[in-house]
Amino acid sequence: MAVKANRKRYILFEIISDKELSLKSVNEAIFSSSQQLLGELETSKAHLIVLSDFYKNNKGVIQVNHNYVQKTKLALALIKTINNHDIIVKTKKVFGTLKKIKSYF
Amino acid sequence: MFYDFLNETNDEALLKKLGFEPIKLSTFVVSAKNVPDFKRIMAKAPAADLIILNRPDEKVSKVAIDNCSVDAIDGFVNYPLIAKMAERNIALIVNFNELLNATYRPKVLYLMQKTVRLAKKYKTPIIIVSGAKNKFELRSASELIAFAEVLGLSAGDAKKALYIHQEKLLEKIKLIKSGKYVRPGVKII
Repeated sequence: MAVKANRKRYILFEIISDKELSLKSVNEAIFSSSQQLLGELETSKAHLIVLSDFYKNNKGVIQVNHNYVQKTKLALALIKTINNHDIIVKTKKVFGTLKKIKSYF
Repeated sequence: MFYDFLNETNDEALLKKLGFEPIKLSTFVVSAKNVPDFKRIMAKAPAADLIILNRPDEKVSKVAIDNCSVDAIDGFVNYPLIAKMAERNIALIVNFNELLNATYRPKVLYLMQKTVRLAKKYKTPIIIVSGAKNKFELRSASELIAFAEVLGLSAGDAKKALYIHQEKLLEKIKLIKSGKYVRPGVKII
């Protein structure tokens, strides 16, 4: 039986904050917010990954299933603080391939 | 061009960065506990471009909608009233800040989804706002569109909720200021 491939989308995001935040803390905050909003089951279905290669100067890329783009965006919007610093997570654009996203870095 | 009608920040640069057109409106938010309280507040209400009824109970909503005394209602509205709101062109405000600072988010999300579903059914104008009390509670236009889509609006309707009714209200305010506005649907040419 053929297994349907996971159609990926890449969300380019920027964190508006006074301080530079580490990838680890950003990763934790994104997963915790996603789990709080979607639950463990839905988060697992979303195939959420924060791509470590692209994280630089509070900007990064999240890989997600194409059905969960809007829900992931809402989960990002619901993050209020990271390491007790007030932040705003702004999603810039959604891409279908990594090749295009490289031109933004 | 997107608008965020309800926020308490004056950071125009940040609003522009988040994809909004900064506008200066005098907004009067009415928070009334009961009908006599609402009537008393409205009798003393200052002249404002936009009058918003904040989290009213059913009786207060009914009086406000019957009198057409408000431009928009920020809260959860049920069936007969939401249909009347559509007739009288009173907008429903969906406030992102209520979800952001909610103690129990699933309940707020459920009530919002229910209200938006009814608004969609009866074609009540919807306005999505960030409702930010400080600059860190502001959210970008794309996040608010995602929020609207999660509440049950289509991609097109979600975008429209950020500018269509707002532009109509701005036009109405412009007409009132120029003295050409008579009543809904009637203007001096």
